[in-house]
Amino acid sequence: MTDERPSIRILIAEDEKATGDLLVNSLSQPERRLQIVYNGLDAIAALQSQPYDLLITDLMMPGADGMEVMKKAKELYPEIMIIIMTGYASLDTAIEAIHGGAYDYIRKPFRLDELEICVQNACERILMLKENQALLKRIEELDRLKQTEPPVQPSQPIFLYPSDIPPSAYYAQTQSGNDALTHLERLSSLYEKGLISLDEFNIMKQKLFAKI
Amino acid sequence: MNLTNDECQYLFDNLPAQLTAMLIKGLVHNLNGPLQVISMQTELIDKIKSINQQQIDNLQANITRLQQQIQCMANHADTNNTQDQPIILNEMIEQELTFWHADLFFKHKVNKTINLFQKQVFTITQEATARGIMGSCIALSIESLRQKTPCNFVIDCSITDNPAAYSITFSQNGSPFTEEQKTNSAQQAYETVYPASLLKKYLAVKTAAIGWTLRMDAQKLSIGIPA
Repeated sequence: MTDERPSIRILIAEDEKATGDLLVNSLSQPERRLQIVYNGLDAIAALQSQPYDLLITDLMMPGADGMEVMKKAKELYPEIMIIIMTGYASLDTAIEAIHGGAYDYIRKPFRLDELEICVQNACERILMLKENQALLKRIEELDRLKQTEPPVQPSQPIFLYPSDIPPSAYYAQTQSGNDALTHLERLSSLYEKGLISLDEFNIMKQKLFAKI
Repeated sequence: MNLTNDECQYLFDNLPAQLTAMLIKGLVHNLNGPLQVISMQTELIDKIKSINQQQIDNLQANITRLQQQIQCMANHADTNNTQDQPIILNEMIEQELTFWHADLFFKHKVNKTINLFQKQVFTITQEATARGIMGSCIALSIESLRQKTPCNFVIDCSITDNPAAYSITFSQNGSPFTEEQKTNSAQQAYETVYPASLLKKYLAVKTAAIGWTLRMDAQKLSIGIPA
């Protein structure tokens, strides 16, 4: 697995241009891909055009309001994280937003530090989800591979030969006493590490002795 | 509960103040916009410990917005002033529109076309009553538009021949003014609802009281104002 963290796609919907631009300015970080739209309809269009991990939306906007945008976002990407921000002082709306699947709710006027903490928490959660998904996918792939590969036969210790050389040719190349001794040492080492059984060790040893 | 005539009269006379009270949530919402920009901008300046011209302009623009909104609210606080004074009509219309943006349905859902007077014209009348009349025309239009999509609202100002010198027309494409307005549940996010029948009475009484004229058509309210 690579150490590089995946980027987080963030859509900001804010009808106050000055506020929106300052949000982009302050939330910008190398691993965040930010896009800003200035009304609800553009937010829905942006969501339809590409997936986002995080939506930060104003509640009261022209075109479509934040609740409509949130519903559309959830419909398109059920795992999207949503942060609602609004100057509309209504507890009911906040509760409705959280029930509708919003991750957090922030009331204007808020401090940038407050929003940054909120966004940072959401980003951490998104990254964790992405990592979990990647790990699950990897496990599924390994499971699939395991099911499609033939089981390893104890009498055929294929791990002893280089993969591109057939066993017969390999043995043909290892005729000298020194080579046999080297292989015997490798066999002992494999047995000590528990990588081959005693039976396998004995069979291989007999074959080696027969060649000397 | 039955109200006495005096109580009804008191409520009727103070209708504009009641409308202002209904808009408080939206007024606060709109104050938060420029306040948010000022707050964020100062926070960013504090972080980088420097300031550029663009940031100064941004701060000043939003302080101006705050001042305008506070002025609009102050205008509506002075409801008991019955003295005649000169009123610049374009200025009052613009202030009323700014004020009525506190109705978030009107602010966000209604397409507005505003054709002001081509030149600055004024009239002398009671400012509070004039504001009450214009506000009532806007409130009635909003009520008519609640069930309509798209919502179109137009103000046309013109200088006319006698008997009226100036005409202001408020048009909308929603339900007729003559119908009883009903609340649309789809608009619950913008829940402010105004008493339409009371507004119509208020308009009729107050326009007559200050010598203005009122004409109510299906989707159009026209006010005639003497010079």
